[in-house]
Amino acid sequence: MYPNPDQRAFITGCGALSPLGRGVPAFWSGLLAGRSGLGPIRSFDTSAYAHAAAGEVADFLPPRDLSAGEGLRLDRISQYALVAAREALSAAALDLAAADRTRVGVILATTLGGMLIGELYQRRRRSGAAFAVRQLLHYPYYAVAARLARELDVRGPVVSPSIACASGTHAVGLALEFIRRGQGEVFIVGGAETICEFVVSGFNCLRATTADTVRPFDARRDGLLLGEGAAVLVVESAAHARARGLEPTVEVAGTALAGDAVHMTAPARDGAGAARAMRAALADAGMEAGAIDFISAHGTGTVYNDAMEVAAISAVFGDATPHIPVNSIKGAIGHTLGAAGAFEAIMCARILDDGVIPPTANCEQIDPACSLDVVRGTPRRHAVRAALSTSSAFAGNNAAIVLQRAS
Amino acid sequence: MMPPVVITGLGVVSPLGHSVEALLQGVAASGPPYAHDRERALTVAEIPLEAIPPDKRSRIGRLDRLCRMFLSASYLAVDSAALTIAPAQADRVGLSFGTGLGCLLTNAEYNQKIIEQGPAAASPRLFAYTVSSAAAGEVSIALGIRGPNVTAHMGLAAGLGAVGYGFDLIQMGKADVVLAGGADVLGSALLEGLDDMGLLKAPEQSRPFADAVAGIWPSEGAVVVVLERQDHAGQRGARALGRIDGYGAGFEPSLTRRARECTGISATMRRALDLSGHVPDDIALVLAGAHGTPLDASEQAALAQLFGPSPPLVLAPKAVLGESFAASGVLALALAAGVMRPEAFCGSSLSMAEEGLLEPPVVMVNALCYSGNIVSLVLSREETS
Repeated sequence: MYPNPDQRAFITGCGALSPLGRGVPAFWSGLLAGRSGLGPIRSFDTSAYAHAAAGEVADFLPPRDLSAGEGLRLDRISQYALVAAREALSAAALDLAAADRTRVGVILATTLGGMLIGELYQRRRRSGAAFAVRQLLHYPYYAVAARLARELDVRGPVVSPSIACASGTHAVGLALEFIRRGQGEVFIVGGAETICEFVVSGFNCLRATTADTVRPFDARRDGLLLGEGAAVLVVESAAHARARGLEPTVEVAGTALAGDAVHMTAPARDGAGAARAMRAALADAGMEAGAIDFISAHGTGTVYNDAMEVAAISAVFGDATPHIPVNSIKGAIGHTLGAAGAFEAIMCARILDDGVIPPTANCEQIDPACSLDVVRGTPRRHAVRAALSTSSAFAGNNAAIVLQRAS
Repeated sequence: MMPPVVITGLGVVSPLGHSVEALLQGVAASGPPYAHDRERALTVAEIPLEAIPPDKRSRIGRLDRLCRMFLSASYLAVDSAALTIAPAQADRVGLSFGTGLGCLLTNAEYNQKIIEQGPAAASPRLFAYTVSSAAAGEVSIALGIRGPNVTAHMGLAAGLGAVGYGFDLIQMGKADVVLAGGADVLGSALLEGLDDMGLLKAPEQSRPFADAVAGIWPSEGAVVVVLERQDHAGQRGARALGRIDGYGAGFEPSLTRRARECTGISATMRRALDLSGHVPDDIALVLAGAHGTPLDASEQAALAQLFGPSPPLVLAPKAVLGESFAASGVLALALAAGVMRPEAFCGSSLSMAEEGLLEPPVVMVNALCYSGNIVSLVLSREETS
């Protein structure tokens, strides 16, 4: 029968491969330093593009992180995901060989999946050049999560949440829900993306990208830049973690989704959907808004997203809004789409552990219309017991999660 | 005690017709040959766009095939449930959509233009539909659904998985009503890709549990079920077409290998039973995911492992419906609801009665994917728990 819904879930390990470097330490120290990993795209010829900067994973050499067979067998996005997953499992000191693998699942979000395979296939089909067609099995969106699940040899639920830019946040929340619902005990959770022409041309044609750089909540902000990489967390039931002798410090306490039902590509200007997701996530965590000490904003650096978020956060937190520290990591690593929320969850976990909030890279002249306390310039020491992370996406999808320090 | 969740509406868009009755009649007619069986793909000849109210049709022109099919199935489902979504209730209505391939066809169309004409030719209209959540987004806009809205990929098991998650949303108290379902559509780019991989096969090679030929007889479709907390349905006088008792989601990593195992499949079915509070003996009928490939043996082994020497009746709808990707599992679920309550869907008698397939009290529906994804869901005829 369905178990006690009060089952709790904890983050017991994290792994990250980002434009700030390999590993969580590089990601975290880069964020704290206010460093930006954005730069000219190097992975394809951008001469036909007006805006051609992004956050790419630099210096990724598969032989260093993967076996020769894995380097040959796996496409780039799967390599990213596997490297980040191994780091997370190692940090969690979790030996899957010793676990009941029917209780271990994978939740890996991606909005692009094996798009590099799809692009290459279409180009070669047109030109008549040779192409190993069996690679196409790894093109669909579900293939990245399935490949990671096969590499890790798990037998629990394997899902690729697909609510565009809110997918990574939902992935973390879904692990909590699956644990509460008895679908598994351990989830390897996160998101992965690779920069490719498909997505760069897409955001260019929507005129959503900037020619300059990403400046979340800045008066001069004028668009986003994309990013790539993989962020993976191990989310584990309290009972499972306890049985392994762990005393985890960060809990996934609540999660929620809400739809705008307004527009396919633009956020609802009033932020009503995002606000409902935040309120529902707080309710799911059994918390009042006053319990939140930090907000990880979606903060894409587009004019409308950031204004929408100011409205949404103000609606939820009212008079307390100017007193809650907020940041965005999009200026540091770009918009990593399906992975964004997972990167943000890793940052929140570090903030909860370390009591220091990284600054928002490139936010220099705060927008006068922004009433948020945007952390910028230097890291801010601040004791955080509970953090809220919010994401919004195409198709009017909004997701929010609440993380808290274990009591 | 978790609140019971019932199905109060079903919207079906399928190559056999756009109703549960059409599915039942198609399967009762013992499957192939149909007129379109000579085709290499089983397609929906005409999407029932007339299901969409006239004042909501202005956006149809911009929608891709996936959005059109899912939107039509959603309206058919809402109509079948006699459900009105008032703005005051919109926050308590959710949407859970599962798709195998999602927007890949739109992606291919978008990519082709870039490849042929360069990035300056990129179409913002097409790009907006290169997210798999676009179909659920369109449904949410059309029907004014503002509760949890989620799209997920779980290979070919995604549609049934979406129904499972919709059930979760209601039992977790996050929605009173959820439109849940799956869809996948065919198009030339997909068929070319399958053909290039040598994975297209004829219907004659697609006999579940009989053939073991790699490849699929491709099909398409969309099914949306209206899931509702039982007391909510009762308050508005809605009829219950079946009760979801539980589901399991899982994975079998060996399904892509030569030496396939069934541990993940049997564990998933076992989880579905355990969570739904049933024992194997309760299951009177299994709707299998088998589709005439070597995967069938793994499902068969898992069924034997779970049910032992006295297995329930097994029906494999893909013999008739082809492989419609993530729509398959929800088409099977619609069929399960149909055989459970044939009187709710068919005026005429069905030959399936002679085979003892009608009115089973509890049915297990399986959805499997060659990728390894598995979902198993338990549906009960009982209206009350």
